[in-house]
Parts: sequence; structure tokens; C-alpha cells
Amino acid sequence: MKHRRETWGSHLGVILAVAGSAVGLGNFLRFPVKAATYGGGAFLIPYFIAFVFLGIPLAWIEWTLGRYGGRFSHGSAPGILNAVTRKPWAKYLGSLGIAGPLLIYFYYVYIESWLLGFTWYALSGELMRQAAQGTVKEFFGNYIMLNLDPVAGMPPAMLFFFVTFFLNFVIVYFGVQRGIEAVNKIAMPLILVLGLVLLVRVLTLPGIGRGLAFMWNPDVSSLKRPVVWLEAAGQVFFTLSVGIGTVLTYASYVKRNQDVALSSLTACAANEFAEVILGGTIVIPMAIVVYGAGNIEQIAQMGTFGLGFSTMPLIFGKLPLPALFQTVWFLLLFIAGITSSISILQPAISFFEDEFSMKRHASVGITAAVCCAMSLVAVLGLGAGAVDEMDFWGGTFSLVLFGTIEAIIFAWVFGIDRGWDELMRGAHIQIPPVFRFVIGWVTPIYLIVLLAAWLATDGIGFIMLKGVNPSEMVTFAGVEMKKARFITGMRLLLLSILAALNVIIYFVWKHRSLNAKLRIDEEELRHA
Amino acid sequence: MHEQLSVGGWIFIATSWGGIIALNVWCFINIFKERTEEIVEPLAADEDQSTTTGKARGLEFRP
Repeated sequence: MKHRRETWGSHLGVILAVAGSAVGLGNFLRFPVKAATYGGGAFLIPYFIAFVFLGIPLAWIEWTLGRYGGRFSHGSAPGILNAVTRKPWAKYLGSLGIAGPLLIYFYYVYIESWLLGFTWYALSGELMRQAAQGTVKEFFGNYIMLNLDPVAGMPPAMLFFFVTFFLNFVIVYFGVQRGIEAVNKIAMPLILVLGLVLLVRVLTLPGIGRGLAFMWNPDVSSLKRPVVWLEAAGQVFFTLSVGIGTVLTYASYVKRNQDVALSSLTACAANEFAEVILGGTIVIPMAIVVYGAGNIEQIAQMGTFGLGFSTMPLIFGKLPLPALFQTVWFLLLFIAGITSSISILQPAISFFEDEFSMKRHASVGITAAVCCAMSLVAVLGLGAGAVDEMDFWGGTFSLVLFGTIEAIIFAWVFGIDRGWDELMRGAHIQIPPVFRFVIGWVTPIYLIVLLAAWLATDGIGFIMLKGVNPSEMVTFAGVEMKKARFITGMRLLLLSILAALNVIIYFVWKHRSLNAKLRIDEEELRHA
Repeated sequence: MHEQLSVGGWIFIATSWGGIIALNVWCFINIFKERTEEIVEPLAADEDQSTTTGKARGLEFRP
């Protein structure tokens, strides 16, 4: 018997869940570094152009495709793309919409667990002690490389990893309405409150004008550089969680005639509030006030994690109530991390539930087993480059490729006329007709150009192991080996996961066709 | 150069913050606005669905 699919409990619930999926570390750490590096306020010109012509249209496409697939009881990309195109090959392209988010989850949960760990260290005062000694950077390095003294028989990072992992799966076990929606209804207002607390703290710092000036004074000459436009488009793409497959899955639980046009726009708007207003005001302006503009290049070069885990605790350490604000900072990021990580689990869970008619405990159990094994590879192989590989293939390559595929399928295979009608079904807003052209032509071409430019600038070099020293040695789980060999092994492992998923998809649909044929034969016999 | 916010800096802050806050307010007002049940006309996609039931749907395409 076909199981009855869940739906969201409220209109607001699905919006908060999608916004929660989008709001993450990138809003608070990646965006400010990009903006400060590529023209300050002027960065916002290409950023908002990309938001209007790439981000919002792609979000509309994903919501529409997801809701359409949900009508046929499909909640993951293979089934949805198959239902939309009615072409057998489409379901195999859809495998990227399950493998991509899983690959991201394998390492994201470990990073999320660092935030839980550092929330604990901030609360306990340990981080304040490290900040006072100026050893936060070393402490962070030892923590993530599992070099700190064991707690309960294992390194603290491993302990917090298991706690975070367990917490994620408990939430998704409760389902879409009682798990994901309920958590987001608490988490999103909490992110807003914690973000506003930090915003007020930053805006009341003496000399904050210098920090805001560094971040927002426009360097209009930067607009002549193509890389600024490419980086802005990339940032919009990554921040909205489009191209992953999670929005497709979330939208599949939306009722058939329920609005998606306004819901999608609202989720995008909420994400922009977190990114531009909170993210753009907290980190860089604060760093400028405390360290001065002369050191900002070094700070930016520390990268996202260096900035978030090493610099920010030091900055808060120089202000009144350091432990309180360190806790608020890491708790804010941890909550933002949870709402994102549960969203990237759902496509796989939905695939098992919808396509195999599995019960919740079975679908969650299988997903947890795969994720646990692969996440341990990320934990133990961090120093060897395992996380970089997973991030490249799952968090960058698959994302841009799958987003391009979705846009092309929606505009040129499903057809812009049918697609537009489907988008406007039950819509609570009238979308300006110019977006029909934008979705039909501008967005797919924009994405093809973005994919090609990204491959030319970064992608090919990474794929060809440019920058990897052939004699460089790494250690994975106590075994020493050449880095190039480890990376090749990782790629074969990830490729085998994708291949296995496609084999499963093949047999699922074959089994369905046989069942359908049997049903028809039985009916014909009955009539005869 | 970056000692204080320039006029351009103020303009970028005001327009981006103002635009994002206005978009959020407008969206959430529309979300919370009470709506009567709307009757939605069948679309081409619905018609397609009704014609692909039965044998053809079962054998050739199982969405």
C-alpha cells in the first residue's frame, strides 16, 4: 500500500525551513570576506544583479519543480525530474540531487560539531582563557585535528561530533512537520534575536564608523574586474541553498495549490537579511575596530574558519563580557548549522520513503549508517584533504552543475509556458511578466556561463590536482601515504557512491514498471 | 581612506538595508494577510495528467 506523504503544518513553517536551510556559516563569514575583498559596498551591485536574475528565479524554479513532483509522491530529484520531463534519462541526472547533499553532509556535520564544542568552551570559560593567553588558533587546530586530551575516552571533537550527529538524526526522525518544521519555528527567531544582539553590540562599539567605512565605502573601480562579478554570482548561488536538492525536497511537501511564488521570495528575503544586514555588519567591521584596517588582509587570508573560530573569540576577548558574546556567537552559528544540516539529510530520507515505501525508522537508519561511515572518513581524513574533496565535489561542483540542469530542464524541457503556469498556480503575488523571459533565457544562460567560468578559473585546476606536490605525504587513520594517492582513493570512493545510487535508481524504476505491467495484466484478465 | 563612511558608503548602506528590510516587511505582511480559499483553474499540466492514466501511463511512463 502506498504510504501517505506528509505536508507542512503551516505556510510559515515551510518558509522558515527553507530560510533555515539557506542561512548558515556562509552568511556570517563567507559574505563579509567576499564583500570586503571585492570592492566593499560596490560588491553589492553585481551581488544584487545576481540575486534578481539568478538567485530568485532559480529559487522559484526549485520550489515549482518540487511542488510538481510532490503531486506524484516524489520528494527527491530522481523522481521529480522524471515526473517533470517524462524522459527516462532525467532520473539519473536527479541522482546529483541526492548524492550532492549527502556529500555536503558528510563533512558539514563535523564543522557543525566544532560550533557546538566551541559553544561549550565559551560557556565554560575555556575559550576566554585561551583568548587571554593568545592561543586560540593553536587550541582550534588541536581541537579539529583530534589532538586535545580525551574526554570520556575520546577526543573532545569526536565526542561533540557524535552528539551533533545524533541530534540531527533525532530531528529528522520526527519527520517534516514534527521535526524539521518544529525546530525551524524555534531556531529561526532565535537566530534573529542572537544576530540582533551581536548587531547592537557592534554598532555601539566606539569607532565603529571606521569598520563600517571599510566594509561599505564603495570601490567602484572594482566593477571593471570580471572576477568581482563571478564571485558575486557565486556568493548568491551558494547562500540561497539552490542547486543542492533540498529546496526541491522541501517544496514537495507543499500542498498542490499552495503558493510557492511568495513563499520562495520570502525565504530569499529572510536569507538576505541574515547575510547583508547581520553578516555584513558583524565580523569585518568588528575586526577593523579591534585590530585596525592595517591587519585586515591577514585576517581575511585566515579564511572562513580562521575568522570564525580563531579571530572572533580573540575580538570578543578584548571587549566587556567576553564569555557571553563568545557564547552568543558560537550558539548563533551552531543553530544556523543545525537548520542547514537537517535540510541536506532530507532528500536521501525522502528518496527511501517515497521510492521504496520505507517506514521512517528504516529510511533514517539507512541514511544514518551511510552518513556515519562517511563522516568518520571526513573526521579522520581532515588533515589529509578528505573534507576539501567532499566540499569540492558536493559543495561546489555538483551544486553548480545540478542548478544548471534544473534551470535548463525547467525552461527548455518542461517548457517555460507550462513552467510559468505551474509557478503561478495558487500564487499570492503577481510576478512581473519580464521574469518569464528571465527564467526562460537569462537564468539558464547565466548559469551556463557561471559553470564554464568557474571550471576555467578554479575547477579544472582542482580536478587536475594542480598545486598538489607529488611527493607530499599525508596520514589517514594512522596510515601514511602520498597525498595524490589519497585524493585518487577519495574520488573513487565518492564516484562509487554516485554509481551505487544510479544502480539503485535503475532497479527501483524497473521494479515499478514490472508492477505496473502486472496490474494491467490482472485487470485485463478480470475483464476477459 | 576608510576613516569614516563616505557619502557613497551611506548610500550603499541605506539602499541595501532599506531594500532588504522593505522586501521582508512586504513579504511577511502578504504571508500573514488572511486569505479566503481560492479556486484554482485546472492547468495544462492537470489535463496532461488525466490523459496519461491507464495502460499507457503504467507501461511507458510511471511518474
